[in-house]
Parts: sequence; structure tokens; C-alpha cells
Amino acid sequence: MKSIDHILEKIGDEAGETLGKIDKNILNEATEIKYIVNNPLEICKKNISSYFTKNGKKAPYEVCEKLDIPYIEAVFYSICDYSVHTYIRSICEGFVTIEGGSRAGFCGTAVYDENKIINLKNISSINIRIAKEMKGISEKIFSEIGTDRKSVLLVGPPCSGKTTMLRDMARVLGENGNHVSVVDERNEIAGTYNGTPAFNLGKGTSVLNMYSKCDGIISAVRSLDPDFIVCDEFGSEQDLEASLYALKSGADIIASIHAFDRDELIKKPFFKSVIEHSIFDYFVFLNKDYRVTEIVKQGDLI
Amino acid sequence: MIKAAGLLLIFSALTLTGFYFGERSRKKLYEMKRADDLLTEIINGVEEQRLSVNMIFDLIKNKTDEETSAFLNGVQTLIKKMSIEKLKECSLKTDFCHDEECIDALFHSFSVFGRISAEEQVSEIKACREKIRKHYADSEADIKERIKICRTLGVISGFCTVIILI
Repeated sequence: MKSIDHILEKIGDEAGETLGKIDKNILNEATEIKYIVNNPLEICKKNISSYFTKNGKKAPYEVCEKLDIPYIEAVFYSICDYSVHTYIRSICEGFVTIEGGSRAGFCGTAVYDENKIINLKNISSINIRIAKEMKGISEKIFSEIGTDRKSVLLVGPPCSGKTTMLRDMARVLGENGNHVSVVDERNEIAGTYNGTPAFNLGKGTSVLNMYSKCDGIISAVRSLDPDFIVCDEFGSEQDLEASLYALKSGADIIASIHAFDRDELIKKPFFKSVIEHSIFDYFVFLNKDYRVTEIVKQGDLI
Repeated sequence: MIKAAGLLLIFSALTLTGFYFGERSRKKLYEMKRADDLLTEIINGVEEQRLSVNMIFDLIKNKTDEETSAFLNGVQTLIKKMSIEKLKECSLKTDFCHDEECIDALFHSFSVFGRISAEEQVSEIKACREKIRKHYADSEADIKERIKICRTLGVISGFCTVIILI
């Protein structure tokens, strides 16, 4: 079953009917489904948006019916299995993982208690990012750097397929007999649903789901003896410290970071430390088409 | 001999009718208690284990009576679009509860169940349960009185009929 089929199965009522009426080819190629109040249903393929009527027909923005709060609430409750209390922690983090690995992100009115979000009310927009498994996309990377022990940082703008690439790299490394631990802070890499990863992450890969990167890396090193630790959205001082601890313990890091290009990466505040401590052996740059544009050795970066 | 048997039969029939009406009144109390127990189970499921709506319903169905189980099956199909009319119909059809006030309280509980945070749900459902408990307490004395009256009337009417016939 594809991720989109899980989404179609999940979203009920009127919203589900609308999705069901949309051409299956469009849905199969979609990367995001957006429900925003006072806007029509929007489906994105990479960065190109299309708008749909409630009858599932593609139409110009002005022609399509605008979605109201009850419509969006119905989608929200469907995604949460009509059990908001069960998903409240995840909702406060801003998203819920749907079976199949896709993620529904929510926007609404935040309710705070002692500087911590304890609830999200009046949900006004939902963005479903459809998880994709693209087996073989990391081929170019491994053909250049090999599958032996190296730390790699994937660099790319939003929607450049960093997470998809990490997923495939974990799978390839696992298939090659490495012990891989995936620290999945936001449940994006493995798309774990009820404890089971939605994607093939390779033989014997362990998933540390919803751990903070720091805790996850330390736990993995202490208990799983990994050859590689895979994690998303690298960038804080704590991530750096945890990575150093992992490197000292003999594990390599495969991580990703948001940056449009080399210049932006170099300007990042923690970057000096990354170079100083030689955390990554290779920097792999991705563009918006999920393509590897450049593979740079650490020494050649600056 | 036949006459005596006939009189005994008439006496028994009228007495049993009285008891039957008495028990029907007692059933109302039982139904209120059943609604109270259902809300208590829901509160526990939400408060202690944060289980999903369907999981809570399935757990309750595993350890409850036939009527509650049938009622919950009906509620599971209604949970997406709940209306008081549909809930009432479901409750009557499954013989779960016939009391209007209880059905109102259940409707309010199911309207918030799963749709707001656990703390808010628990407080709302507890308030509904309190309503049912108050209604039970208010009705209990009346119903017990009614049970007594029905039984007494059954016995007296049986007795009087027998005397008249003699």
C-alpha cells in the first residue's frame, strides 16, 4: 500500500470524498496536500501548486471553493483517529505521523502553560507531506565515496529530498552489513506508526523514534554499538557534542542540514566547530530536484 | 379443586404483574447505573492510559454486557457525525438506556470525547457523569417507592379479585 493510499483511507467524510475524486496520477506524484482555511484544496508536486474544487477537479484558484473551519476540523479529527488526547504530544509538536510514514503538520492557536505548548486549538491549516521511498537515489553518493566508514553531511534547501536520501543511505548501509541506528527525532526518516517503521531501512537497522538527536545518539552508542548513526536536521551545539561522542566511540554520522548552497553552509554559526573537529568526511549538496549536485571532501570545502 | 387452582392462578398472575411493573421501574435505575459505569470506563481510558476512542470502546466491549456492547458498536459508527437523534435511536434500539436525561448526558460526553485535550475531556465527561448520578439519586427514592406501590398493588389486586370471586 502506498503512502497516498494510507492518507486516502485515513481522511474521512467530505474531505476524503474530494481527495478520492482527484485523478490518481496527480495524487501519486504529489508531494504535499494542503488544507488552509479560506483557501481551496492545494496539492503540490515539488514546488508547483494546483488547486482543486470540492468535486476533485483541477481549477484556477479563484474558481475553487474555499475551505472553512469545519471542513479542516473534520480532516484534523480523521487524522487523529477522533482521539485528540492520544496524539496530543505529537499535536503540540506540530505534526502527526500517518500510517505509511506521511506527516500531517498542523497550524492553529497555541495554548501555553509555563512556556510550553500544551494544546493546539482552532486548527486553521493542515499540511500533509507525503512520504516517498525512492530506492537507489543514494547510488551516486556511494559510487563516489563507497560504503565503508565515513561521516557524511547532506546539504540542501527545503524539499530537496534530504530525508528521502537519508532513508535510502540507511537502507544501503544496512544492506551492506553495517549496524545502522536511525535517530528519528521527528519520526520523518522511518515514519514509524504504532512502533513499526513504514520504510525499508536496511537489514537490522534500529530506529530510535522521537528521541532528541542528542539523547538518541548517546543511547545508540551506549546500547546498540552502531557503525553508522543516521539523523536529520543537524545543527545545534548539543548535536555537535553528541556527534563528537559518537565519533570517539567509533560510530560515523550520516546527517542532513538545511542550506541552499556552500556559502550558506559556511556561514552557519556552528560550522567552524564542524570543520575544527573534522566531524564529516564528505559534504553532499542536493538541489530541489532531489539531485546530487556536488560531493565535496572536507578539506576541499573552504 | 379446579376453582381453587383457578383462584391461585389469578392471584399469582396479578401479583406477578405488579412485580413486573416494579422491575420495569428498577430497570430504569439499572440503566442509569450502566450509563454512569460507561462514562467511568471512558474517563479511566482517557485519564490513565490516553487510549484512542476505538481502543477504549473495544476494551469496554470486552468486559461489558450485551446491551452496552451493542450500544458502543452503534456509537462507533456515529462518532464522526454525532447527533442527539441518532444517539437516542441507537440507545433505544440496543436497549441500553431509555432515560432522556441520561441520553442527553451521554450525547454531550460523546460530543467532546476524543475532540479536545484529555484534561478537558475528563472534566466535561465527569460533569456529565455527575448529572447522571444526581438524576439517579433524585429518581432512586421515587422509583423505589414506585416499585413498592406496584408490588403492593399487584398483591392487593390479586387478593381482592380472589375474594370477589369466592
